[in-house]
Amino acid sequence: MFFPVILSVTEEKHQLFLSFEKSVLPHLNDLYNFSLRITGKQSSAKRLLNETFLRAFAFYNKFENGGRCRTWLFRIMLNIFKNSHRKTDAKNLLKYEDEENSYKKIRDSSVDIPDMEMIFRNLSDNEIGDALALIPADYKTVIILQDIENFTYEEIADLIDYPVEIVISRINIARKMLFMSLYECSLKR
Amino acid sequence: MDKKYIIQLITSYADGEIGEQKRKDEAEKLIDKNPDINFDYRVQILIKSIISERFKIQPAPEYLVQSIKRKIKTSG
Repeated sequence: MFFPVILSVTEEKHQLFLSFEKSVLPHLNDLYNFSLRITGKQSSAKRLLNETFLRAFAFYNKFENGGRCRTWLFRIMLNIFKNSHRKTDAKNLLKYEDEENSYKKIRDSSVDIPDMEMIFRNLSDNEIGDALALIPADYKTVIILQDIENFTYEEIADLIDYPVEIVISRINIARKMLFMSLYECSLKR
Repeated sequence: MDKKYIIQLITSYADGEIGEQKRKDEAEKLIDKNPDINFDYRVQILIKSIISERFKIQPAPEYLVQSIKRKIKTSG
């Protein structure tokens, strides 16, 4: 009587894995990309991805298929990131209060956006990646979700547990900070 | 006009998140008439396009995919 019980448990787990492989693993690239952008490091991104999928599998039997799988996975990743991966040295990050005055000065000067666009487009992927890494996590997260992962404001608000107004405000500030960061980077060239 | 309201309006307009035509018209009018708002709007559009173009989704390395599958299979 012992073996059939073991067999049925193994079979059940195998079926669960097959279902997981079919419905969850297709989102792995999106999640990898997101983890790469929010952590800024390949080693941290891999660790975060591993933890996310292991946790997702552990709770997969409680996940209702009617729910949105991609959003569910992003929520798991964001929670893990918030709780354990977010230990970036805050001293190196930009502060909007510091950047706001410089931003206004640029706006009031004769800086031309098409000229800036040309300069920014000549920056390398590494330079742009480094500029993005300077944005504090709360702000960086929302522009990645909006501009790369194509979530709507409502979906982002749901993912980060903040009202839509806060999401919009953070997106606005994040882009201004990245603009400043790229502007400073272009001056150093 | 309230600064917060303008920020919400311009950002939502840049992200194509405004459904109501009246609010779209309001955003367009502000962008046309006010140089500061025009600058802010163009910064939003510029950075949005740079991020989406430079950080396209890249596939996870195959060895990582296989390693995750193995760990899941042997977990619990």
